[in-house]
Amino acid sequence: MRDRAVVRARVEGITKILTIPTIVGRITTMVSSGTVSAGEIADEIGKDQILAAKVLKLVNSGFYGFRQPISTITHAMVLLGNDVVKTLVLTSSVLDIVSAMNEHIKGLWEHSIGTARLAGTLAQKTEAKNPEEIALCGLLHDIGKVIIAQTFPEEHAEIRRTVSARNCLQIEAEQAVLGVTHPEVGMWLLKKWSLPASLVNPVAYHSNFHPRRDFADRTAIVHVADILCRAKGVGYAGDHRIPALNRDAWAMLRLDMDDIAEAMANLEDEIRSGLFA
Amino acid sequence: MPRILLSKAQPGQVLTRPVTTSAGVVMVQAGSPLTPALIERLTNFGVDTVVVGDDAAQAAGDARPMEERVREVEARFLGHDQDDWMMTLKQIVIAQLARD
Repeated sequence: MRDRAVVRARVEGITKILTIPTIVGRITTMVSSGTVSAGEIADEIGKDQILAAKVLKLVNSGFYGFRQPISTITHAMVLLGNDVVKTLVLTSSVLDIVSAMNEHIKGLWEHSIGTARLAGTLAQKTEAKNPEEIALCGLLHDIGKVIIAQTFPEEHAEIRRTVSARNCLQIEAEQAVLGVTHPEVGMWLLKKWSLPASLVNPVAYHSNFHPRRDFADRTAIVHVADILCRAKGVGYAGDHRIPALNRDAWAMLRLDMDDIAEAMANLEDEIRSGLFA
Repeated sequence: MPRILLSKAQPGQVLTRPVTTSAGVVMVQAGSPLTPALIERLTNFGVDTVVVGDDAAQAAGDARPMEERVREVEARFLGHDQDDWMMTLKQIVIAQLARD
Protein backbone atom coordinates (compact mmCIF):
# COMPACT_ATOMS: atom_id res chain seq x y z
CA MET A 1 0.00 0.00 0.00
CA ARG A 2 1.23 3.45 -0.89
CA ASP A 3 1.25 6.72 0.95
CA ARG A 4 -1.91 8.65 0.02
CA ALA A 5 -0.12 11.98 -0.18
CA VAL A 6 2.43 10.51 -2.60
CA VAL A 7 -0.35 9.05 -4.76
CA ARG A 8 -2.22 12.36 -4.75
CA ALA A 9 0.88 14.38 -5.66
CA ARG A 10 1.51 12.08 -8.61
CA VAL A 11 -2.10 12.35 -9.77
CA GLU A 12 -2.06 16.11 -9.50
CA GLY A 13 1.18 16.22 -11.43
CA ILE A 14 -0.52 14.38 -14.27
CA THR A 15 -1.30 17.55 -16.20
CA LYS A 16 2.41 17.56 -17.00
CA ILE A 17 2.48 13.90 -17.96
CA LEU A 18 -0.69 14.15 -20.05
CA THR A 19 0.75 17.14 -21.95
CA ILE A 20 -2.62 18.75 -22.45
CA PRO A 21 -2.09 21.27 -25.25
CA THR A 22 -1.69 24.90 -24.23
CA ILE A 23 -4.84 25.77 -26.16
CA VAL A 24 -6.86 23.66 -23.70
CA GLY A 25 -5.44 25.67 -20.82
CA ARG A 26 -6.33 28.92 -22.61
CA ILE A 27 -9.87 27.77 -23.30
CA THR A 28 -10.28 26.59 -19.71
CA THR A 29 -9.20 30.00 -18.45
CA MET A 30 -11.53 31.78 -20.87
CA VAL A 31 -14.52 29.68 -19.80
CA SER A 32 -13.71 30.12 -16.10
CA SER A 33 -13.39 33.90 -16.42
CA GLY A 34 -17.09 34.11 -17.25
CA THR A 35 -16.57 37.36 -19.14
CA VAL A 36 -15.78 35.86 -22.53
CA SER A 37 -18.59 35.20 -25.01
CA ALA A 38 -19.41 31.79 -26.44
CA GLY A 39 -18.41 33.11 -29.86
CA GLU A 40 -14.92 34.07 -28.68
CA ILE A 41 -14.40 30.70 -27.06
CA ALA A 42 -15.64 28.97 -30.21
CA ASP A 43 -13.15 31.02 -32.24
CA GLU A 44 -10.35 29.90 -29.95
CA ILE A 45 -11.31 26.23 -30.28
CA GLY A 46 -11.68 26.75 -34.04
CA LYS A 47 -8.02 27.84 -34.26
CA ASP A 48 -7.06 24.25 -33.56
CA GLN A 49 -8.76 22.40 -36.41
CA ILE A 50 -7.94 18.98 -35.01
CA LEU A 51 -9.34 19.87 -31.60
CA ALA A 52 -12.46 21.40 -33.15
CA ALA A 53 -12.98 18.26 -35.22
CA LYS A 54 -12.60 16.05 -32.14
CA VAL A 55 -15.08 18.08 -30.12
CA LEU A 56 -17.61 17.99 -32.96
CA LYS A 57 -17.09 14.26 -33.41
CA LEU A 58 -17.79 13.73 -29.72
CA VAL A 59 -20.87 15.96 -29.87
CA ASN A 60 -22.19 14.11 -32.93
CA SER A 61 -21.20 10.62 -31.81
CA GLY A 62 -24.77 9.73 -30.83
CA PHE A 63 -23.77 10.41 -27.28
CA TYR A 64 -26.07 13.42 -26.91
CA GLY A 65 -28.73 12.04 -29.19
CA PHE A 66 -29.30 15.19 -31.22
CA ARG A 67 -31.47 14.57 -34.23
CA GLN A 68 -29.67 17.10 -36.43
CA PRO A 69 -25.91 17.00 -36.88
CA ILE A 70 -24.08 19.84 -35.15
CA SER A 71 -21.53 21.35 -37.47
CA THR A 72 -20.15 24.33 -35.58
CA ILE A 73 -18.53 24.78 -32.20
CA THR A 74 -20.74 27.82 -31.53
CA HIS A 75 -23.85 25.71 -32.08
CA ALA A 76 -22.46 23.03 -29.74
CA MET A 77 -21.79 25.66 -27.07
CA VAL A 78 -25.29 27.09 -27.31
CA LEU A 79 -26.85 23.63 -27.02
CA LEU A 80 -24.58 22.16 -24.38
CA GLY A 81 -23.36 25.13 -22.38
CA ASN A 82 -19.84 26.41 -21.81
CA ASP A 83 -18.97 24.01 -19.00
CA VAL A 84 -19.90 20.99 -21.07
CA VAL A 85 -17.86 22.19 -24.04
CA LYS A 86 -14.94 22.95 -21.76
CA THR A 87 -15.12 19.44 -20.37
CA LEU A 88 -15.43 18.01 -23.88
CA VAL A 89 -12.22 19.82 -24.80
CA LEU A 90 -10.53 18.35 -21.74
CA THR A 91 -12.02 14.92 -22.38
CA SER A 92 -10.90 14.85 -26.00
CA SER A 93 -7.37 15.62 -24.80
CA VAL A 94 -7.51 12.79 -22.29
CA LEU A 95 -8.84 10.48 -24.99
CA ASP A 96 -5.77 11.16 -27.12
CA ILE A 97 -3.74 9.57 -24.37
CA VAL A 98 -6.29 6.84 -23.77
CA SER A 99 -6.43 5.90 -27.44
CA ALA A 100 -2.77 4.91 -27.26
CA MET A 101 -3.60 2.45 -24.50
CA ASN A 102 -4.63 -1.20 -24.48
CA GLU A 103 -7.87 -3.08 -25.08
CA HIS A 104 -8.68 -2.95 -21.39
CA ILE A 105 -9.10 0.82 -21.64
CA LYS A 106 -11.07 0.57 -24.87
CA GLY A 107 -13.70 -1.39 -22.95
CA LEU A 108 -13.64 1.30 -20.29
CA TRP A 109 -14.47 3.95 -22.89
CA GLU A 110 -17.51 1.97 -24.01
CA HIS A 111 -18.54 1.50 -20.38
CA SER A 112 -18.24 5.27 -19.92
CA ILE A 113 -20.32 6.07 -23.02
CA GLY A 114 -22.94 3.52 -22.00
CA THR A 115 -23.12 4.93 -18.47
CA ALA A 116 -23.32 8.45 -19.88
CA ARG A 117 -26.26 7.58 -22.13
CA LEU A 118 -28.09 5.78 -19.30
CA ALA A 119 -27.42 8.73 -16.98
CA GLY A 120 -28.85 11.10 -19.61
CA THR A 121 -31.96 8.94 -19.98
CA LEU A 122 -32.47 8.64 -16.21
CA ALA A 123 -31.94 12.40 -15.87
CA GLN A 124 -34.77 12.98 -18.34
CA LYS A 125 -37.02 10.47 -16.61
CA THR A 126 -36.47 12.13 -13.24
CA GLU A 127 -36.91 15.56 -14.86
CA ALA A 128 -33.54 16.64 -13.50
CA LYS A 129 -32.11 19.93 -14.68
CA ASN A 130 -29.24 19.82 -17.21
CA PRO A 131 -29.49 16.22 -18.43
CA GLU A 132 -26.53 16.88 -20.77
CA GLU A 133 -24.32 17.74 -17.84
CA ILE A 134 -25.47 14.67 -15.94
CA ALA A 135 -24.62 12.55 -18.99
CA LEU A 136 -21.19 14.14 -18.93
CA CYS A 137 -20.77 13.10 -15.29
CA GLY A 138 -21.48 9.56 -16.48
CA LEU A 139 -18.85 9.91 -19.18
CA LEU A 140 -16.26 11.05 -16.65
CA HIS A 141 -17.24 8.85 -13.69
CA ASP A 142 -14.39 6.35 -14.19
CA ILE A 143 -11.73 8.78 -15.39
CA GLY A 144 -9.78 7.87 -12.24
CA LYS A 145 -9.32 4.38 -13.74
CA VAL A 146 -7.68 5.91 -16.81
CA ILE A 147 -5.41 7.98 -14.59
CA ILE A 148 -4.45 4.98 -12.46
CA ALA A 149 -3.60 2.95 -15.57
CA GLN A 150 -1.54 5.83 -16.95
CA THR A 151 0.19 7.03 -13.80
CA PHE A 152 0.73 3.76 -11.94
CA PRO A 153 1.29 1.10 -14.62
CA GLU A 154 2.86 -1.43 -12.24
CA GLU A 155 0.12 -1.09 -9.63
CA HIS A 156 -2.45 -1.19 -12.40
CA ALA A 157 -1.09 -4.54 -13.56
CA GLU A 158 -1.27 -5.75 -9.95
CA ILE A 159 -4.86 -4.45 -9.66
CA ARG A 160 -5.80 -6.43 -12.78
CA ARG A 161 -4.16 -9.56 -11.40
CA THR A 162 -6.03 -9.10 -8.11
CA VAL A 163 -9.38 -8.67 -9.92
CA SER A 164 -8.81 -11.84 -11.86
CA ALA A 165 -7.59 -13.88 -8.89
CA ARG A 166 -10.40 -12.81 -6.54
CA ASN A 167 -13.13 -12.09 -9.11
CA CYS A 168 -13.74 -8.90 -7.12
CA LEU A 169 -14.69 -5.36 -8.12
CA GLN A 170 -11.82 -3.25 -9.47
CA ILE A 171 -12.43 -0.67 -6.72
CA GLU A 172 -11.73 -3.35 -4.08
CA ALA A 173 -8.48 -4.28 -5.79
CA GLU A 174 -7.50 -0.59 -6.04
CA GLN A 175 -7.99 -0.20 -2.30
CA ALA A 176 -5.89 -3.30 -1.62
CA VAL A 177 -3.05 -2.46 -4.02
CA LEU A 178 -2.93 1.34 -4.13
CA GLY A 179 -4.68 2.39 -0.92
CA VAL A 180 -6.81 4.88 -2.88
CA THR A 181 -9.64 4.30 -5.33
CA HIS A 182 -10.56 5.63 -8.77
CA PRO A 183 -13.42 7.95 -7.64
CA GLU A 184 -10.97 9.76 -5.37
CA VAL A 185 -8.27 9.87 -8.05
CA GLY A 186 -10.82 11.23 -10.54
CA MET A 187 -11.89 13.87 -8.04
CA TRP A 188 -8.29 15.03 -7.53
CA LEU A 189 -7.77 15.42 -11.25
CA LEU A 190 -11.06 17.22 -11.95
CA LYS A 191 -10.49 19.59 -9.04
CA LYS A 192 -7.02 20.30 -10.38
CA TRP A 193 -8.71 21.18 -13.68
CA SER A 194 -10.99 23.61 -11.75
CA LEU A 195 -14.21 21.90 -12.80
CA PRO A 196 -17.31 22.81 -10.74
CA ALA A 197 -18.56 20.60 -7.87
CA SER A 198 -21.63 19.82 -10.01
CA LEU A 199 -19.31 17.75 -12.24
CA VAL A 200 -16.76 16.70 -9.60
CA ASN A 201 -19.11 15.31 -6.91
CA PRO A 202 -20.88 12.69 -9.02
CA VAL A 203 -17.46 11.40 -10.12
CA ALA A 204 -16.10 11.51 -6.56
CA TYR A 205 -19.04 9.77 -4.88
CA HIS A 206 -20.62 7.46 -7.47
CA SER A 207 -19.42 4.43 -5.47
CA ASN A 208 -19.96 5.95 -2.03
CA PHE A 209 -23.33 7.67 -2.18
CA HIS A 210 -24.72 9.77 0.66
CA PRO A 211 -28.06 11.62 0.22
CA ARG A 212 -26.93 14.72 2.12
CA ARG A 213 -23.92 15.60 -0.02
CA ASP A 214 -24.12 18.41 -2.57
CA PHE A 215 -25.39 17.25 -5.97
CA ALA A 216 -26.64 13.98 -4.44
CA ASP A 217 -29.43 13.87 -7.03
CA ARG A 218 -27.05 13.60 -9.98
CA THR A 219 -24.64 11.40 -8.04
CA ALA A 220 -27.55 8.99 -7.48
CA ILE A 221 -28.24 8.95 -11.23
CA VAL A 222 -24.61 8.15 -12.08
CA HIS A 223 -24.51 5.45 -9.38
CA VAL A 224 -27.58 3.70 -10.82
CA ALA A 225 -26.49 4.23 -14.46
CA ASP A 226 -23.14 2.58 -13.69
CA ILE A 227 -24.93 -0.47 -12.25
CA LEU A 228 -27.29 -0.69 -15.25
CA CYS A 229 -24.44 -0.43 -17.73
CA ARG A 230 -22.54 -3.25 -16.02
CA ALA A 231 -25.70 -5.33 -15.73
CA LYS A 232 -26.20 -4.99 -19.45
CA GLY A 233 -22.59 -5.95 -20.10
CA VAL A 234 -21.83 -2.86 -22.20
CA GLY A 235 -18.08 -2.25 -22.37
CA TYR A 236 -15.73 -3.35 -19.63
CA ALA A 237 -15.33 -1.43 -16.36
CA GLY A 238 -12.30 -3.47 -15.28
CA ASP A 239 -14.07 -6.42 -13.63
CA HIS A 240 -16.93 -8.83 -14.21
CA ARG A 241 -19.00 -7.94 -11.16
CA ILE A 242 -21.78 -5.44 -10.39
CA PRO A 243 -21.54 -3.15 -7.34
CA ALA A 244 -24.42 -3.27 -4.83
CA LEU A 245 -27.27 -0.81 -5.26
CA ASN A 246 -27.39 1.99 -2.70
CA ARG A 247 -31.02 2.11 -1.52
CA ASP A 248 -30.91 5.82 -0.68
CA ALA A 249 -29.70 6.59 -4.19
CA TRP A 250 -32.49 4.53 -5.73
CA ALA A 251 -35.11 6.15 -3.46
CA MET A 252 -33.91 9.59 -4.54
CA LEU A 253 -34.65 8.85 -8.22
CA ARG A 254 -38.34 8.02 -7.57
CA LEU A 255 -38.41 5.67 -10.56
CA ASP A 256 -39.77 2.15 -10.97
CA MET A 257 -38.41 -0.93 -12.71
CA ASP A 258 -40.42 -0.18 -15.87
CA ASP A 259 -38.43 3.03 -16.19
CA ILE A 260 -35.24 0.99 -15.81
CA ALA A 261 -36.35 -1.53 -18.45
CA GLU A 262 -37.09 1.35 -20.84
CA ALA A 263 -33.76 3.02 -20.21
CA MET A 264 -31.94 -0.25 -20.92
CA ALA A 265 -33.95 -0.91 -24.09
CA ASN A 266 -33.13 2.63 -25.18
CA LEU A 267 -29.42 1.99 -24.78
CA GLU A 268 -29.73 -1.20 -26.79
CA ASP A 269 -31.36 0.78 -29.62
CA GLU A 270 -28.66 3.42 -29.48
CA ILE A 271 -25.91 0.79 -29.68
CA ARG A 272 -27.62 -0.80 -32.67
CA SER A 273 -27.86 2.61 -34.29
CA GLY A 274 -24.10 3.00 -34.09
CA LEU A 275 -23.35 4.60 -30.72
CA PHE A 276 -19.85 3.10 -30.80
CA ALA A 277 -19.37 3.38 -34.55
CA MET B 1 -29.22 1.52 -40.00
CA PRO B 2 -30.62 4.18 -42.31
CA ARG B 3 -33.23 6.77 -41.43
CA ILE B 4 -35.66 6.79 -44.33
CA LEU B 5 -38.75 8.69 -45.34
CA LEU B 6 -41.86 6.99 -44.01
CA SER B 7 -43.31 7.17 -47.52
CA LYS B 8 -40.50 4.85 -48.68
CA ALA B 9 -40.82 2.37 -45.80
CA GLN B 10 -41.89 -1.16 -46.76
CA PRO B 11 -44.05 -3.57 -44.75
CA GLY B 12 -41.79 -6.24 -43.22
CA GLN B 13 -38.98 -3.82 -42.37
CA VAL B 14 -38.25 -3.59 -38.65
CA LEU B 15 -37.93 -0.36 -36.66
CA THR B 16 -34.40 -0.23 -35.24
CA ARG B 17 -35.13 2.96 -33.30
CA PRO B 18 -38.36 3.75 -31.51
CA VAL B 19 -40.73 6.27 -33.07
CA THR B 20 -41.17 9.13 -30.63
CA THR B 21 -43.24 12.27 -30.44
CA SER B 22 -41.42 15.60 -30.48
CA ALA B 23 -41.62 15.50 -26.67
CA GLY B 24 -39.70 12.21 -26.69
CA VAL B 25 -42.63 9.96 -25.74
CA VAL B 26 -42.26 6.56 -27.38
CA MET B 27 -45.13 5.87 -29.78
CA VAL B 28 -43.80 2.62 -31.24
CA GLN B 29 -41.00 0.54 -29.74
CA ALA B 30 -37.86 -0.39 -31.60
CA GLY B 31 -38.05 -3.95 -32.86
CA SER B 32 -41.62 -3.52 -34.12
CA PRO B 33 -42.16 -4.79 -37.66
CA LEU B 34 -43.78 -2.30 -40.02
CA THR B 35 -47.19 -3.35 -41.28
CA PRO B 36 -49.37 -1.50 -43.79
CA ALA B 37 -51.68 -0.50 -40.91
CA LEU B 38 -48.80 0.80 -38.77
CA ILE B 39 -47.36 2.80 -41.68
CA GLU B 40 -50.78 4.37 -42.23
CA ARG B 41 -51.12 5.21 -38.53
CA LEU B 42 -47.67 6.80 -38.41
CA THR B 43 -48.47 8.79 -41.54
CA ASN B 44 -51.64 10.06 -39.88
CA PHE B 45 -49.58 11.05 -36.85
CA GLY B 46 -47.42 13.25 -39.07
CA VAL B 47 -44.27 11.10 -38.72
CA ASP B 48 -41.87 11.92 -41.58
CA THR B 49 -39.02 9.48 -41.12
CA VAL B 50 -38.26 6.16 -39.43
CA VAL B 51 -35.07 4.18 -38.82
CA VAL B 52 -35.36 0.64 -40.14
CA GLY B 53 -33.32 -2.48 -40.79
CA ASP B 54 -34.19 -6.00 -41.79
CA ASP B 55 -34.38 -9.07 -39.58
CA ALA B 56 -31.08 -10.46 -40.79
CA ALA B 57 -29.20 -7.29 -39.90
CA GLN B 58 -30.84 -7.25 -36.47
CA ALA B 59 -29.76 -10.77 -35.68
CA ALA B 60 -26.13 -9.93 -36.44
CA GLY B 61 -25.52 -8.61 -32.89
CA ASP B 62 -24.24 -11.48 -30.76
CA ALA B 63 -24.06 -14.85 -32.45
CA ARG B 64 -23.30 -16.90 -29.32
CA PRO B 65 -25.89 -19.43 -28.13
CA MET B 66 -28.53 -18.00 -25.80
CA GLU B 67 -27.59 -20.39 -22.94
CA GLU B 68 -24.04 -19.07 -22.94
CA ARG B 69 -25.17 -15.45 -22.90
CA VAL B 70 -27.61 -16.11 -20.04
CA ARG B 71 -24.83 -17.86 -18.06
CA GLU B 72 -22.65 -14.80 -18.55
CA VAL B 73 -25.42 -12.56 -17.16
CA GLU B 74 -25.92 -14.92 -14.18
CA ALA B 75 -22.18 -14.72 -13.42
CA ARG B 76 -22.28 -10.91 -13.43
CA PHE B 77 -24.98 -10.92 -10.74
CA LEU B 78 -22.90 -13.12 -8.43
CA GLY B 79 -23.46 -12.19 -4.79
CA HIS B 80 -26.77 -10.38 -5.37
CA ASP B 81 -29.13 -13.38 -4.96
CA GLN B 82 -30.75 -11.92 -1.84
CA ASP B 83 -31.34 -8.50 -3.40
CA ASP B 84 -34.81 -8.28 -4.98
CA TRP B 85 -33.98 -5.14 -6.95
CA MET B 86 -30.90 -6.77 -8.47
CA MET B 87 -32.84 -9.94 -9.30
CA THR B 88 -35.50 -7.87 -11.08
CA LEU B 89 -32.73 -6.12 -12.99
CA LYS B 90 -31.30 -9.49 -13.99
CA GLN B 91 -34.69 -10.56 -15.34
CA ILE B 92 -34.83 -7.36 -17.41
CA VAL B 93 -31.37 -8.01 -18.87
CA ILE B 94 -32.21 -11.63 -19.74
CA ALA B 95 -35.58 -10.65 -21.23
CA GLN B 96 -33.83 -8.12 -23.45
CA LEU B 97 -31.30 -10.72 -24.64
CA ALA B 98 -34.25 -12.59 -26.06
CA ARG B 99 -35.21 -9.58 -28.22
CA ASP B 100 -32.23 -10.23 -30.49
